[in-house]
Amino acid sequence: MYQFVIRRVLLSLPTLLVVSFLIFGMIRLDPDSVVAARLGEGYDPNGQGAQDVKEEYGLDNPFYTEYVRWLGRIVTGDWGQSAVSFKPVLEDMAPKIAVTLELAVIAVLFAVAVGVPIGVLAAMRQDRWPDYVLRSFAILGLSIPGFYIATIVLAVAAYRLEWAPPLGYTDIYENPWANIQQMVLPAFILSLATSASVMRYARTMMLDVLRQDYIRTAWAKGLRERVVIVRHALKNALLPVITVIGLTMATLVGGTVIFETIFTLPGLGTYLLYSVQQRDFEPVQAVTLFFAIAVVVINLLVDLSYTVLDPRARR
Amino acid sequence: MAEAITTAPIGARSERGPSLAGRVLGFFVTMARRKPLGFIALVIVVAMILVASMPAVFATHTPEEPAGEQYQRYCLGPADSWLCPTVREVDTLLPGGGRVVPGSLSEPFGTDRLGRDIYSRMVYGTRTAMYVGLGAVFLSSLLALSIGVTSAYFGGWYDALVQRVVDAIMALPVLVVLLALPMMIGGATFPKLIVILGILGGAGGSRVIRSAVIGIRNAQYVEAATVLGATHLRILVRHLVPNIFGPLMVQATIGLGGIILAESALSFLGFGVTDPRQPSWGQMLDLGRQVSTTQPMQAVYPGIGIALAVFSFNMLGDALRDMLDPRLRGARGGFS
Repeated sequence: MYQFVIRRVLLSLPTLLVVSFLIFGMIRLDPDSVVAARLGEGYDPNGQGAQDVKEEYGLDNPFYTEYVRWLGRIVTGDWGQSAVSFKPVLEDMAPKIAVTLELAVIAVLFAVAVGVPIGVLAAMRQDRWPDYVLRSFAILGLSIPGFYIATIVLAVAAYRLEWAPPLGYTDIYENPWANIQQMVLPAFILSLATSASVMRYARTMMLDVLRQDYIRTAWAKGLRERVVIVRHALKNALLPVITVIGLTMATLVGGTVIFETIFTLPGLGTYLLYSVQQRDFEPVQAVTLFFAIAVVVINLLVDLSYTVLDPRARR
Repeated sequence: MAEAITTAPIGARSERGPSLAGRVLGFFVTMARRKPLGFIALVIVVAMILVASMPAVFATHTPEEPAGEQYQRYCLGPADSWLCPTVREVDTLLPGGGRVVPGSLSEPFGTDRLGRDIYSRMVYGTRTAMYVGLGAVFLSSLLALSIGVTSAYFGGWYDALVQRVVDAIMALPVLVVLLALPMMIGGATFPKLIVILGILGGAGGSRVIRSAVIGIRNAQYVEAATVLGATHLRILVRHLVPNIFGPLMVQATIGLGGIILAESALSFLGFGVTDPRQPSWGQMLDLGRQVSTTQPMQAVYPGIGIALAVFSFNMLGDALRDMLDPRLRGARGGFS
């Protein structure tokens, strides 16, 4: 098993390297528009300002020397400096990571708490009306964009109920109750698409397990449905479900950007949008890199925990 | 009698078989019978492509000009002819947008804050969604096909290397790249978005194609072709590609929904292409959200467009998967 863990960890290193290269390369695709974005309309392409910008981002140097230098800085914890706040990007990002993390964690919890029981229930009543109803809801949850649902919920709340959900953000250590109130609604709507995926997957897995011999044996022993499902079937059916969480992680991260904007949460997503608006390149690179690393690491953790939890996956 | 039998060869009909048109028609008839929901989705998709290909016929106004001054009752030919009459009407615009002519057929959904007819903008929004969606899906299918097939067929170092790159691209959240990259290459335009979405989608799609090819690369007909001295290119193009057409179609259909969703999300955040002549559903939803406290319906309509398109492509993809390729159950389109 240790062999597998080491191999899996080593396998994700080249991925991270390529990710960093892609993100590094983005800014070098079109140096002129980088200069134009920083200097604004009517700049002098040969003037001192253009030279300064090119120097700042190393656009005139060959890309390999620049990439090695950039990678060295990233590894040693220097993720660049914001051209707006003049502070190191990591320093700006640190408090925002917690907000995004909280949103994502609550959303994943919701997705599992809603998706798994519904999927199991649909599997237990396969091809009967609860199955059809629940599956239709899952497909709706996957098709209706979360930002649309959020918009409608906020509009209906304001227009019909004359109630505004608590927007904004309170620090969790300052006022945990207010913090939870603000987080629950965005996290729940964010989780809908994921819980639909989890539900569909849990249903498929459950159906697979329910057809196996040991389940028939359990029925034949005369065990009650609750015991057959909870004691015998669930354990085997639910393990693979955690892999879905890894698969939907990139989607979920994209979702946090939208929901932080709609619900005005000061997380990495709003920071990214603000930096894009300000044409502040290093924070944009840094946030993109952070999200990509997070996706790789979470996928790694999901794979590892799956191997640890399921003895059959160890080889 | 004996002569009659010999002169009429047995199985003359089956030798010809049904024509291509007959086979395609038969496929759709089977689909309507076995997958009614998927068939309805197909009808919606065809209708949307029809609307997108000739929006001027369906729209009553242009998407960029304030309605109310003039509108077209219907449009089947050149503007201002008897095929496309323009009617002038002077109306008052309500602040914050609202019905210009209450209950009229020319502005069924009312007008937005700038006085533009929402229904007509929805029609043109269909064109935008299909333009980005079909363009990106065409590119991503080409990419997925070329990467997936070669990666699975050649294997070895090439496969290992390509798969790490695919891993890396799949780790990038689509929406984040859509926000970050256009800023660095001089602002969002539709061709740029199509290329970005095509590359991102192609990486994910190549995985499915790769595993499908791995399943058939040791098949006997491939071996036979090799023995007969077929070149790699010939095996790839003549033997492998036709056999993974099913998974490719499923991947493309479900990917289309995801791409439309991603473009809408980008426009919704206000970082999409801002061209008044090419409105996007996401952008309209954002405009509607801004006035949703007084005019909630303005946010409802564009979202229905997005949801209907994504739903139809998902359902159609599901139905195609069940009909063309039962191995693939479980995958699904999202932002990624």
